Amino acid sequence: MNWRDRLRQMTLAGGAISLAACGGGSLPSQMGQAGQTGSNFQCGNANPDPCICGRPDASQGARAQCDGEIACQAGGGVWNPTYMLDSTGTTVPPHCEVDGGAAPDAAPTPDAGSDGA
Amino acid sequence: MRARTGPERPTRGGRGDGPLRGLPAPHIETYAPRDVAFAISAWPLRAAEELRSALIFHALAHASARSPITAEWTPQFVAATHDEVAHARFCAAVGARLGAAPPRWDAHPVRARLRPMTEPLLRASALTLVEVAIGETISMAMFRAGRRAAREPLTRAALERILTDEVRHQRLGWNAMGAWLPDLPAEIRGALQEEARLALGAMEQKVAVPALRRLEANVPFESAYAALGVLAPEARVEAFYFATERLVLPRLSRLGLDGERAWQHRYAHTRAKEGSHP
Repeated sequence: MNWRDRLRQMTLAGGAISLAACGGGSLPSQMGQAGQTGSNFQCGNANPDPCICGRPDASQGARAQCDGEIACQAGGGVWNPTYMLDSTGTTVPPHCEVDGGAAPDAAPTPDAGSDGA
Repeated sequence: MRARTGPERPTRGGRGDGPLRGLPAPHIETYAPRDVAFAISAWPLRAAEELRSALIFHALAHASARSPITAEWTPQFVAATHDEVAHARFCAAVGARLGAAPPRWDAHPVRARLRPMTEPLLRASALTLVEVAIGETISMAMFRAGRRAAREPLTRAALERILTDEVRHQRLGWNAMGAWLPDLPAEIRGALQEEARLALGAMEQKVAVPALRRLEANVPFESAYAALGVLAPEARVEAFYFATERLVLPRLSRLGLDGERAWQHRYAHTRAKEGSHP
């Protein structure tokens, strides 16, 4: 079964992909009381996406990053969620990257991707 | 926010001692710096997840010691607590060795998870079923898939080391539940059926849905990420549903719980057991 079938089956079961999205649709409120328990289950093999595992609700920093990621993806970019040190020792915060390293207007760090980081 | 620095400080870099003893040296020079930066940032997050597991096992050990049905298993939960603390230190050390930031830890979700479960036998059995049996089975599948795709030597060896313990932990969970269930009161068995139902929906949302979102949005995934230990969305989806359908649901049924019903109704908004989920 491919991922589209999985998505379809989950929707038929009553789940919705938007439940896990960033922003207003929080898992607990969407799931009713079930979410009070469910939202605290472990997230498995972690990845750095700021929008998953309840991170936007647990941390203002993650929420800001998640909002940035959504805006970035809406603009066709790819969100780099990491803090990096560039060759001059300057910290580059999480940022949006588009082809060629140019950042879209929505990106919070317009020089990201062009500094060799 | 209650986040604070996690269990491991950044190392002096490059010595491979302490928790990393016996592991191969990293080999990341052939990867693009931005791919490395993305992939290694998963290690502090893994460390935080492992520390969360340690606190869950710690609470489970305390609860199990207070009930005659579960007390015999307490030493194994204590040992698993130590395993998970070691994992947290290990993940932080791997991350530091590769150049990642130290982990941050927020205890609030664990406290929220434990708060509704005040009765020791319910707490012990619910945590064992959901967090140990089901949770560690899915975690095992994720680590196994991540290890399978990983090519960078330190990453692959590190995932392998954690996977070994995850296999033991999930087995501990299923074995404990098999031993306890015949003696559990009917109201706790009913609560466990509900816990399983809620857990399956919540885990699908937390593990599979972020990957499904990325696939639906056609977000690019660099092959280097997988080589460096981050699961590709397709692999994450496949691993989650394999673990759920081939491992978790049949095992729930063997315990005498209705795994298929729990899965089918994982998003039902009815609440079967008042009291366990306020």
